[in-house]
Amino acid sequence: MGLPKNYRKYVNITPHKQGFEQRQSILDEIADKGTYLPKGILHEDMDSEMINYVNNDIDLSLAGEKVPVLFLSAQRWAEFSKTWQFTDIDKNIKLPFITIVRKPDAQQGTNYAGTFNIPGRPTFTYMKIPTWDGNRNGFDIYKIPQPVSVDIMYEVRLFCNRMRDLNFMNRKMLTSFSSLEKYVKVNGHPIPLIMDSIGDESVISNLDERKYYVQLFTIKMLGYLLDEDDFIVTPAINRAINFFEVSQDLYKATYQVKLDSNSESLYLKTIFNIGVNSINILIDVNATYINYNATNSNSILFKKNGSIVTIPFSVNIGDELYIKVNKTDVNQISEVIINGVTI
Amino acid sequence: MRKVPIERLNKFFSQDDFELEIDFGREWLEGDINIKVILYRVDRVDTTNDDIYGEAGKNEIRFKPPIEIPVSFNYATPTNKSYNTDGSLRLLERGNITLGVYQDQLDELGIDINYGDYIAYPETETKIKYFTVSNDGKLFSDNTHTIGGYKGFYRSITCVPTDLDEFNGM
Repeated sequence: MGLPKNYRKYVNITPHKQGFEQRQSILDEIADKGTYLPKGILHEDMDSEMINYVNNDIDLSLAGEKVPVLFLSAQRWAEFSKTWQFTDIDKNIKLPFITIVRKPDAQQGTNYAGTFNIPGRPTFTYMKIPTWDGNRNGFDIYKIPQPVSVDIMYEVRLFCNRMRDLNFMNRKMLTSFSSLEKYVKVNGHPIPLIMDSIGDESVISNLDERKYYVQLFTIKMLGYLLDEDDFIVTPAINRAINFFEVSQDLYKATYQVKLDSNSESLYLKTIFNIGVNSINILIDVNATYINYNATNSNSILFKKNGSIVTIPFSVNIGDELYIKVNKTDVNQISEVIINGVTI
Repeated sequence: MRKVPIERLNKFFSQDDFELEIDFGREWLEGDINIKVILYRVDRVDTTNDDIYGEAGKNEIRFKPPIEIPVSFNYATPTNKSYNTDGSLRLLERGNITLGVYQDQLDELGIDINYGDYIAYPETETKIKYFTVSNDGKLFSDNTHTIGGYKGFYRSITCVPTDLDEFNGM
């Protein structure tokens, strides 16, 4: 009997994040088990993940034995140190095995589709982290530059001497890349791999030579570089403290002495701004002051060298004249003009 | 089986002379030189292989009882090469071995050497290397393999190194 239409045979009871939650989950994974900053990625991290991918994701076992995966570089002793445990009595490695060779010429990346990018390597705010120094709350701003994209080519070769072993590896690789690209996690960063080509380097054409199959998988990693030395952590402004100091000396009255040389008369004009009601003037002209006019004033007090004087009074060079005005309205300025004659 | 008498060179060379020469040679090869290899003849009936490719898996090759055969032995110089095209994964590959075997010897033992059979050569008391026959030399009536063009009397057999994954003897 057929199942009713729209009948769900499998119900996924495992919560699966989607949309923003899924993107946030990826971001969380990038910083997982570390600082608030993302983990950096360098060439060796991508190489390491490539080994991990072939060794654990492809995970080829033939005849019940795991096929060794060897990442090879130029140094001979390093090659020997990686292969000695898989060698025969002649110290030659035994078939089957897988080699990974990274082409030394890592190219400028294409995961930005080869377009222009932001110049100048600026850093961007990645995260704001609350801080507490025991007294004050604050924030640290974590800034990182844009990653530098890089394309790395890997050559993965299977060496074996059976066609069915080739088929097995080929099937695993094609399955892994069935959706065109395969994502690996390099320090938590999702980075795509693309199968560039599959080649054949089998040594089977010469009859009087040892025969074996070599299948070559050329894989391109569309990676990026993120150097942790380029990360910047700066403290943000956590609190602004303003100090206000109040002093009567901050504002002073202005004065002007006007001398008429023909008539030998003079006047001393003083303006008391708002908040100012007294002034000390150092006398530099010998004179006798005989009257005064004042605005916004109830009364005026004169002191000469500390002693109270009244109009008329005389002053000499070097005397100190103190004038204090008692304003009618403290929110207005007061103007005092004292008239006199020179001595 | 129809037989045809061989009458060439009969003024100065006969079947008796031919056999005498072979006896001299075998005396030298077996008595004086005494280099022996072990022949593993693949049992093509009992060996398990897959139906599509006809390949045997590891340790799946079955063979008839191994036989020691005296041979004239030529071992080529090993080649220093690499598995990868970029020069990585170095391999010091053994050279091929070329065996000279009297057909008379094989007939006495009632055996034949076929393409794909395995040859073991004990390099030391504890080190045996295996080769597979890449040329069984079954055509040996050329000038080199005859005595004066009378009849072929020995076979030149070429063997190439084999992987332990393919054949590991006993």
